[in-house]
Parts: sequence; C-alpha cells; structure tokens
Amino acid sequence: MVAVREARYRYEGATADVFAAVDLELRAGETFALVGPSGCGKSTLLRALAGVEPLTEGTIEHAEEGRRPSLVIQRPALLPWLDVRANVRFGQRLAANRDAAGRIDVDALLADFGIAHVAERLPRELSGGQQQLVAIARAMAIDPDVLLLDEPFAALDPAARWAMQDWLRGLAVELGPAIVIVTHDPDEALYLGHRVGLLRHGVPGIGPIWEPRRVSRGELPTLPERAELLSLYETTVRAGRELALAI
Amino acid sequence: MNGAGRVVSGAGRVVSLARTVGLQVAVLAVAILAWWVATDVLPAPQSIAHAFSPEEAFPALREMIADGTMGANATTSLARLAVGLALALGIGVPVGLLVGGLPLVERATGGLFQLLRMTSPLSWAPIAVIVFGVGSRPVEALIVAAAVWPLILSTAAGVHALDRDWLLTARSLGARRSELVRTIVLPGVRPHVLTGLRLALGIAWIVLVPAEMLGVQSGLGYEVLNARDQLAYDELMATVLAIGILGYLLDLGAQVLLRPGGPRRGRRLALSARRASGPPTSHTAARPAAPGLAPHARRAPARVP
Repeated sequence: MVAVREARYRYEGATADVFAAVDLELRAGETFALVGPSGCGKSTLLRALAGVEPLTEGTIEHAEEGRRPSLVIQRPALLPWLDVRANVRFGQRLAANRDAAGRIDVDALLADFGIAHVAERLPRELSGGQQQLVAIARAMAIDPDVLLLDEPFAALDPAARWAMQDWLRGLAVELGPAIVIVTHDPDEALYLGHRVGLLRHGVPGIGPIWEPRRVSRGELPTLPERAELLSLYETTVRAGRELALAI
Repeated sequence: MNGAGRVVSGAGRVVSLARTVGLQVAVLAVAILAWWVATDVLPAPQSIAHAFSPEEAFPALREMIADGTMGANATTSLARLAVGLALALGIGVPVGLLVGGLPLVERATGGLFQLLRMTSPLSWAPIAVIVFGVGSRPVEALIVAAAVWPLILSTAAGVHALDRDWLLTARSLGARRSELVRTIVLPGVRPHVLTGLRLALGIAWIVLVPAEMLGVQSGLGYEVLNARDQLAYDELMATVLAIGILGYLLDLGAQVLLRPGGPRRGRRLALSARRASGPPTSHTAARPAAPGLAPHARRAPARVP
C-alpha cells in the first residue's frame, strides 16, 4: 500500500499552489485513474509519487520496505543502444533494485507482455505500441509497489491506443502493484480506472472520486459517472481558460 | 571515400560504390600524370625538378619500405599519434562532460576554449620543447594541444543532446548520480565522442608531421627534413607520398571503426528488423499477454490488497 498525505506542491517563486491537500491511498492491484485538464498538476503529482519531484509539503508512505514506485511517461524513452531485453533489465542493474532481480525474471516478463520475440531488437526497430510495452515492462521489472503511468498511450494512434488500453485493463489486477494512470481523456480514465479521481485547478484535494462499473468501450456513454465527470471537466477547463486569459 | 562507410545493402549500392572507386582511381592516375609532366616533361633537362619526379619517388618508396626505414619512421609516428590521441581522449572527454553538464563551467570557459582552440598548436612548439625536452614527449604534447578541442566540444555537445527523458526515467527507477553517469551519460555521448575522435585524428595527423620537424630524430616529419638535408629528393617525395597514403588509410579506418553507430551491430539487424516489424499499426504490438501472467512475472507470493 502507498499513501499520500496532505501533499502540496508549489513551484519556486510561484504565488499559487499547483495542488494542495491531496490525500490518496493506493491498494495493490487497483488502477487509480487521475484525470484532469492540461496543467492541473496531475503530472507533477505523479512525479512526486515517483520520487523525482520533491513535494513542497506532505508525505508519501510506502508500506513495504525495499519496494519503490516506477514511472512510465508518454514517450517510451528507451535507451537506443540497448536491445529490448537490456532495456527491460535496466532498472534491475541499479543498486536501488538489487532485490528485484531475484523476484522478477525478465525473460518471463517479456513473454507475459508478448514481446519475447523482439527481445534482441533495438528500440528503433519496434512500433510505437511495442516501444511503450517495453517501457512498461522496464518499469515492472523492478517489482514496484506502484506503477505510475503518465499519459502512456497519448502518443499512439487510436488503434494502438485502444489495443494498449484493452491490454492494460485485461491484466492490471494480475500485474500486482497499484497502478496510477494520469490522463486528460475522461473516457480512458473511466475505461481503465477502478477508481477515477478528478484533479482541478484551485480545488484542494482529488475529487470527486468515482468507482465506475466495468463496461465495454461502447457502453461508456451509459455510465452515470461520465456525465458528471464531463460536466465538471468542462467547468474546470473553462475556469482554467478564464484564469489564463485574466493573466 | 564517403562510400566506404555505406558499403553493404544491395547490389545497387555495390555498383555505385565500384563506380565511385573507379572514378577516384582515374583521377588519381591523372594527378600522377600531371606530377610527372610537371617534374619530368616540362622542366629543362638539367632542372632539379627531375629529382622530384614520380619516376624517382616510387622506386625510392619501394626501397625505403624494403630496407625498413619507412616502416621504422611510420611506426614511430603512429605511436606518437596514438599516445597523443589517447591523452587527448583522457583529458577531452572528462572536461567535455564537465563543460556540457555544468552550465556555469560552460559559460565560464567558453571564451578561453575558443581562444585556445584558435591558437595554432604549432605555436606552442618551442614551449613544448622547453617543458618536455627533446624526444617524443613534446610531439605528443603538440598532438594533445591540437586534438583535445574537438573532443571537448563534441563531448559537451553530446551531453547537451542527451534525451532528458532517459535521465528522468532512470532517476524514477532509482538511479544514483554515479549510475546516471555510467549507464546513461557515457553511452549516450559515445557517438559524439567518436565523431570528435575522428575530427581529432585528422587534425592530429596534420600537426604530427611539422611537430616532428622539431627536436626529434625519427618519424615521418623528421624524415622529410632529413631527406632534404641529404639532398635525397626522391626520398623526400617518397616520404610525402607515404604521409598522404597513411593519412588516407587512417581516415578511412576511422570512418569505418568510429562510425557513431559503431561497428558492433546495427546495420544488418536494422534492415532485417525494419522488414519484419512493418508499419506501427499495433494489433501485433499490443497483443494481450498470455493468460496466467502472474505466476510467471512475479516470483514473489501474491499479495492480497
């Protein structure tokens, strides 16, 4: 379990908080979708969770000793001089994750992700979807307690995006760690999230938090949470725009 | 010349490469003919120019190779080149990493480096002899003075060209600063360092010959002056020829060995894979994982939420 308590973030020299009063508990096996318009601070929150951006205030507690979060960003950012297997193994070779190598077998991971047949290829020889699979496998190889996905499918074409969403939804629970996926697409959030939380400009905390029913992609419009989410989303986008215009 | 780096891949390329080589050989033949005309045909019968003719130079070259003087001098020169380049690499890469990695260092040193870079390395020659005495040391020092700048500048450029997302991802996986340097920065700047090394090699070879005209008793540069002093103009021309041929071969070798992609892998793999992977349409890319993922992927016992 990972818990965020009273998290606040403000850029140095800025006069307003990017986010404040964020409390969040993440349970193993669940997917938490954090949705919000561009610039609402959701990526910053994710980077704080990843430990690469220090919070201005607040704490992040990891219940399990020796396990850490790992982050996947929109670009796969694979190392071009390493083949797929070496890229996936990258994190295991770092001193921080020595133990993970004993728990996660990279070749089994590659097989489970359906990318064992490209293990010897270089990243540039893969499609965009495959590259992102490798990036997620790399993040999983350190046996993280929480997998942080920052708009992981936003750069893919729609067919690849849908395929990746189906894939992630299909195995999210089996993967093990809690997953936090940040997205600006309400439908992606509702499709993937066991819980869906909205992060808004100037509104403290994450909220509301919905627990939408699991439905097929085509049934998404029938979700009552969707109407509410879209309406709040639109309001916060408009507020953000007015704020931008006022400045 | 450039074609050498692009050999392989298809009969068309081979044909075009053969054509390029053929053309270059033809132009080379014309140049030797012009050399012969200028030294043998045009000058008056008693002119000293005849001593510089290819008819004298090529036999002299063969003779110098046969009696071992050319081999000894070339080996000496190449050894100095290697030592100088190795030192330049040892100085240039760390300095380049500092310059590229620390904006303050970069801003502070920019003027100095430009000034030093534009100072002819040979102008340091008397100082090099005072500091390092006679022998190979001053020659190597001058090579360092010439070769270190392209290495510093290209290493720094390599640091700038590093993908920030590589560093972000590595940090998020828990990489420490020293691990970032070892696993991301050093391999990431490698192509730039190799490009710098190629430039450095070219400059160093050019500086090497005049550097060997000062205070040493061996090497190709020394041999040029020595031949002149002995009025052995055929040997002088033979040495000039050897300098040109060796330089050409060095550059050719560097192009093949120091290609940023490296000689290790790449081309063949890249081609076969491009064919295999096809356009990025993804259904293959995102085939859902085989069922029963958990038991394989996680060796740890499943945790209950």
